[in-house]
Amino acid sequence: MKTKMLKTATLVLFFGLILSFVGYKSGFFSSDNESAKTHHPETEKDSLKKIKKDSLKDTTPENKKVEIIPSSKSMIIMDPPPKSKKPNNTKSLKYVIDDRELMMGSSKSAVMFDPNDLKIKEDSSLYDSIWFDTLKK
Amino acid sequence: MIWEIDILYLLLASMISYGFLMLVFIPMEKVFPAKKGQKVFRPHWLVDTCFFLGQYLFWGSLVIWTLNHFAVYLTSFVPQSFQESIQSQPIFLQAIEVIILSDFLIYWAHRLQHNVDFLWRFHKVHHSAKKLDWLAAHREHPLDSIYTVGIINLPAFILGFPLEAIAGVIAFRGIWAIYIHSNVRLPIGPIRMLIGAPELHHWHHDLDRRAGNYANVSPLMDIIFGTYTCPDAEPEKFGIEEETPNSYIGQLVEPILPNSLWNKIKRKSG
Repeated sequence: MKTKMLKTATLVLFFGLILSFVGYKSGFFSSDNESAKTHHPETEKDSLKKIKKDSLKDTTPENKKVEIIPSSKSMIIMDPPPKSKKPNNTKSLKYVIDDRELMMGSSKSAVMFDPNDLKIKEDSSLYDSIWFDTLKK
Repeated sequence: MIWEIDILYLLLASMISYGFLMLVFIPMEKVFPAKKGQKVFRPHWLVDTCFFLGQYLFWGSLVIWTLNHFAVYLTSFVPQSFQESIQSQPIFLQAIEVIILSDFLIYWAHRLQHNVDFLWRFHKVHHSAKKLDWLAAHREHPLDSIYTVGIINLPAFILGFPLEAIAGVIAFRGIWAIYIHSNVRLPIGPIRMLIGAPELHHWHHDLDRRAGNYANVSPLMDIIFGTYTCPDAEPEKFGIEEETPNSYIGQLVEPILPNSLWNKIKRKSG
């Protein structure tokens, strides 16, 4: 009986953590403002609309950065500037490199949490404090 | 100053990831062990921790940096009209196409790694682990990572597919890829034909270099191409037949040096 309970608890913990992780990475636990800051669109439909809208514009890497910052690095990777507008400045390239959240990992392992995950929390706490300051006034 | 903060974040993210993975996998490895009696701090756990930290702190960025450059050049050859026609399909259809194409490509790319000696030089680092667990999953040469991650993301690059639309699927695949290496035996019955399990992947890590089970997370490609194998028991031994260095630096350096030079270094160092 004790073994059975232990096994059940272990399975619940295992699948619970995996589900939580998948939910977190999908932006399920983000508030509206936070999810705008993360790279995950709210729905698949929104994502497609956004991509279509982006692809219709003639964008320089700099413009893309402004428009797509809350979006993913994969967006930038997969929708690179035309040949003549290769990201030859370190600023735009750095953004692409740093924004490493969404990419299929190798078959062996994947990065679980990266600095972006932590920075989002920092930003949201900043946002909240501004909001609190406004309330005080 | 900013870069110092970035490094701090990187270190913190690595530590959180390490702790999170321990919390996810160690209880499973203790309660449902594949190899009973295998300790958490088993031989070479420190080498695998170096691989883990190396991946998070250095090589992960190198892989992304390389792929960014690669993708810019690659996608410049893809006609925009082709990407637009793909993107005009429903997003779930695009997602299915990308996942199937990625699985197909990575299956054959992985099979090549086991059959082409040049690719095996780098891939054998991953197979050199004699004890399998969640940490051993991270034992991977950076050049092997570039090859694997590049190929698995190739369909998304070419089709112009927004991976953020399947962020959950990617997260699941990432953590499941670690799970199939863990020291767990939890038979899941016929579902294992759809989704990979440690009992399948452990056989891929058998001493026999061509043991099978090359598919990524789902074993469907193995079933289709006849490389699926799942005996009832665990393999007797994991690892490779060749002699490999035991140190982290040795594992990184050995594949990139000619054999003669490596043997010379080995002789000199005694």
